[in-house]
Amino acid sequence: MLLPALALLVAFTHYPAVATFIDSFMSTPKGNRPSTFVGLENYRIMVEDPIFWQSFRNNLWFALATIPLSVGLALAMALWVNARLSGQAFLRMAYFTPTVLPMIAVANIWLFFYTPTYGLLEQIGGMFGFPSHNWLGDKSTALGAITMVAIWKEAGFFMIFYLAALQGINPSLREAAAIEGAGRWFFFRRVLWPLLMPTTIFVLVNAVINAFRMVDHVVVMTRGGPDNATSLLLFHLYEVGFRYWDTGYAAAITVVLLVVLASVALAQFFLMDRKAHY
Amino acid sequence: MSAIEFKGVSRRWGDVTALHPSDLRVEPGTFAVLLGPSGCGKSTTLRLIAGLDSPSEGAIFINDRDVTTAPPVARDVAMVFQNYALFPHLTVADNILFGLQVRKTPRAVQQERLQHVLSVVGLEQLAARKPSQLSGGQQQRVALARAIVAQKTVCLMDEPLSNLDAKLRQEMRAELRDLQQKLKLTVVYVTHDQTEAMSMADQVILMNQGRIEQAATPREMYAAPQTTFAAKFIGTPSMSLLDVNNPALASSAAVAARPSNAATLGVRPEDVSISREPSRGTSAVSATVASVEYLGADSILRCNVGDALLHARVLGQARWDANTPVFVDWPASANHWFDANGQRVIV
Ligand SMILES: Nc1ncnc2c1ncn2[C@@H]1O[C@H](COP(=O)(O)OP(=O)(O)O)[C@@H](O)[C@H]1O
Ligand SMILES: [Mg+2]
Repeated sequence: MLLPALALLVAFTHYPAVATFIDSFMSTPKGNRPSTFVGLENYRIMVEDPIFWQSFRNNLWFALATIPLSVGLALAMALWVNARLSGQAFLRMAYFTPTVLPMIAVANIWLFFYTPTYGLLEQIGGMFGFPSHNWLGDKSTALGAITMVAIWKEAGFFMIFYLAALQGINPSLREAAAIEGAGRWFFFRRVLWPLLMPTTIFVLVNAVINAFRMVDHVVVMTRGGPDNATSLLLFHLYEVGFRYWDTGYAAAITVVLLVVLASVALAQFFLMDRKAHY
Repeated sequence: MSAIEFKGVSRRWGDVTALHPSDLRVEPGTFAVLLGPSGCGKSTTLRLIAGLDSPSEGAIFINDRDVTTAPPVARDVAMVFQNYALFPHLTVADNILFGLQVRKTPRAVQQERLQHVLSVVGLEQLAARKPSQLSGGQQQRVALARAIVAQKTVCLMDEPLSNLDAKLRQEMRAELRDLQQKLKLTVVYVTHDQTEAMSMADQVILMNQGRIEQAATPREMYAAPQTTFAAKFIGTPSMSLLDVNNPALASSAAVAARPSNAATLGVRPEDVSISREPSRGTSAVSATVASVEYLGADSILRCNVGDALLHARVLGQARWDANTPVFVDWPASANHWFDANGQRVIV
């Protein structure tokens, strides 16, 4: 009885992973030259590829900024909205919008914010007399600008999970704490935060995965530029795989990406699982 | 001095009035019960005392101090919630100590008080458990322990026994009452169950549609209900109410001698005597037994008097059958008169 399920699982998840793993040790087939076993050659290319390392560094910074900021912002917004929720469907809608919008549309909106000379950011900056700045065109600000978009999009998404969890908390707990004189911060630290722990873990796992998986907005906004300043691992993989059709090398990058994600997920699983039970 | 006092307190939400302007007094060390049907404003009243809600108008005093705008913590009140409101992730001990931890009470004092309340509510063995590992009755005791560990003078309880089964509820009633006496607490207790109210209260505050209908001791409330609502709400079964113009009552001497403004006559079931023959030709009223509810020690007869219904409590051994024509009678002292507005007529 397990067989059909197993077949599906193998066909859609295990087989591609194993095939990718095997491909990463093979050369890329070209013209009439078939693919041959090349050992660690693809990995050697990777280690010597400066764009790979730049993408890796970029991605690390991108993850380091988006994960805590989007989760923190999501929690803060959820607490704020939850306190004022009664009958304010419009307000809730405003916060849910980021989730409904596809990342490409989000990127287009932010593209308008960042546009030099007539973008929204420029116009506001101009009102206060700041000099004009090309946010996406400047190597020093492009990655930051891309990161902002991801934080905005992710925070709106994660907020929904926090909001749902907060709505599930018995409102008399707050009243019981108020009778005892617990301040906001005490109540958050001693009651809300522990009760939200399962949600936080779920959201964190998603935040980590997304930090290494988001690429749509890079494609739309910068195409990895200027000078690879906004190239992330998955974007680099996309370039290698689908622009240069170097499938062997692309497979090697994919393996690295999978290893990174799997180890982070496992670490979280073991470190945080203990704290989530009550 | 009074423990709790309302002066013209009301609470409105838009055009919903949960509490019309009301006066209320609860003496220190007494067990007061807010009684009334669902939606009559009991919880609202309790939450106004607790400071979880603020009045639309009027002033609230606790221990003679004006606390109308004071936050809950400044009111010297503890509260037991209907769903207990225990923190699910904290142990029994941490739940009980929550308030003391907020106030940074020294650890030694915390432990001493914890052990004391645990023994008072009989939970010594369960201090390390989480609420989900406790039965409903045990959770109830934790909520109670959390309320008394604070050593506040006023303890508020919103239907604290409504989630327990009937037998446990009965036991807890007596236990709560003992505890209140022992700790000399002022308790304000909300319930919709009149038996619970009558058996526990020093003072019953009967509410109806956002108004205080009557505030009195259980005995006074039973002996002299001030309104037809109070008459109908208290007692199992409650007082029978008969229209004085009911033609079937024409032969009754009681009705003949009624006060001039009386519109309704009330008679308690236990005051009604019933016989197959008119007893020495007095004022007996003829009726028909409609149904019999046998309860063991006694039976409740539902009798048709004209088109009205009259309850009579008779001894359990006596056999009465439905559709038997009978004569019902009661002493003049058992008459309760109410005017056309449902207010008691004093004779
Ligand atoms: N926050 C609120 N907003 C609007 N109406 C309320 C609110 N709280 C209570 N009410 C209304 O006030 C009335 C009394 O409610 P409540 O005090 O909870 O009754 P009880 O506890 O006696 O069942 C009800 O009609 C209820 O719908
Ligand atoms: Mg209620």
